Amino acid sequence: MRSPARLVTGTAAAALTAAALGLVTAPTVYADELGRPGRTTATAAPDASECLADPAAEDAGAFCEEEDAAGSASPASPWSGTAEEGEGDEELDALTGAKPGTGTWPEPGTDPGTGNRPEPGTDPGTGRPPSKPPVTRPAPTPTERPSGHVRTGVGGSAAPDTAQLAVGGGLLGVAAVGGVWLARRGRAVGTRDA
Amino acid sequence: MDATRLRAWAWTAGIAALCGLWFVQNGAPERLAAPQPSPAEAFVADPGPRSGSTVAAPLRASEPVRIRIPRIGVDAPLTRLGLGTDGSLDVPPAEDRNLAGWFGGGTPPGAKGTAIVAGHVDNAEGPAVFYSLGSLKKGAAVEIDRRDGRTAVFTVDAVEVYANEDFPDERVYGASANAALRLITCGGGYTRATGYQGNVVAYAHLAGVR
Repeated sequence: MRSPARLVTGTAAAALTAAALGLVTAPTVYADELGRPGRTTATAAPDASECLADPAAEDAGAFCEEEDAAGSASPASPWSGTAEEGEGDEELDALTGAKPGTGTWPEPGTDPGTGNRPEPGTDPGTGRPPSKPPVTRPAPTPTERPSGHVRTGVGGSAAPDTAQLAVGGGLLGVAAVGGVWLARRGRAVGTRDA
Repeated sequence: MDATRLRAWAWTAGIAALCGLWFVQNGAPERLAAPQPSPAEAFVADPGPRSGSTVAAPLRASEPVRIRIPRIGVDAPLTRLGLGTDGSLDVPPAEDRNLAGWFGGGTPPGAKGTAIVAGHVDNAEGPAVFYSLGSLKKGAAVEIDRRDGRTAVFTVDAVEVYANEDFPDERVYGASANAALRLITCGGGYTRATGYQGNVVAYAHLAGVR
């Protein structure tokens, strides 16, 4: 009886640890993602590109790295996951910059930096004019239209009018009876007069 | 009883007989429901404004509020109509004998396009707003008061009648280059089993604005 319980607790514990791991790993993922956008929009981007473009990049490298560190938290963020740490951590930068850091930085720095900069500039400019034409209202074009015939009659004027028929029949009957009676009386009056 | 009194009774009986005959004839089931358009009122060629009639420039869209057809004594308010689940045009409530409707999902009368107005030929009590639509003739005026205070004046180009199963959707509801109007009601034959077997459609175009 206990072994299943243990199994349960064991699996529960496993699930918990898995969840914990997931929670632990998740921030690093997010931090990584956050770190890059921070770079792309930051002032660090053009500097980094300059660093690359410059033939004398080795000399400028240190200078650029310093500016990067001061301008944004991006260099440190991929590793620490917090932005605060990166600020002003020149020593760390120097360390990372000396070893593998130099190899990895230019890549994220140049790619989005050169690629994104023109876009934000042009987007709002081109985005405004198109927003005006749709506002013009005389475009409620009839997208839908009816189909088939219309049921606009109940038949009240067409169905046989039983009331009229009854009245008419009654009148005809009365007239017939009256006519017969009148004919008899007329003959009687005629014979009396004669 | 003298002869003059007898003669008076004879006249009364005669008049009663004639009235009875009229009632029987009028109440008989064979009578036609409502006036139907003659073939002479149909389009000669393609539907469109008649040659020689004035065609006014379309107005801006504005909701219609009232329709008047002086020739057949129509003067009724307009209500907004939608589409039924089967895609056919809804109809105004039949209880109100003097109420027509316009298709609110389409072109308002007077604006560029084909505006559609429908009205009952009758309800359970008897004739309704468009009872005499079938007697409308080419050239008759149809006036529609609009919410913007203007009155769109249309001229009738043709009046046609179609069987329900052969209703020409494109001809009636199709797009128009000018401000066109369609007036629709029930027509054709009537039987107790099938109800009305067709629709009467009057075609008109915007000819003036007041």
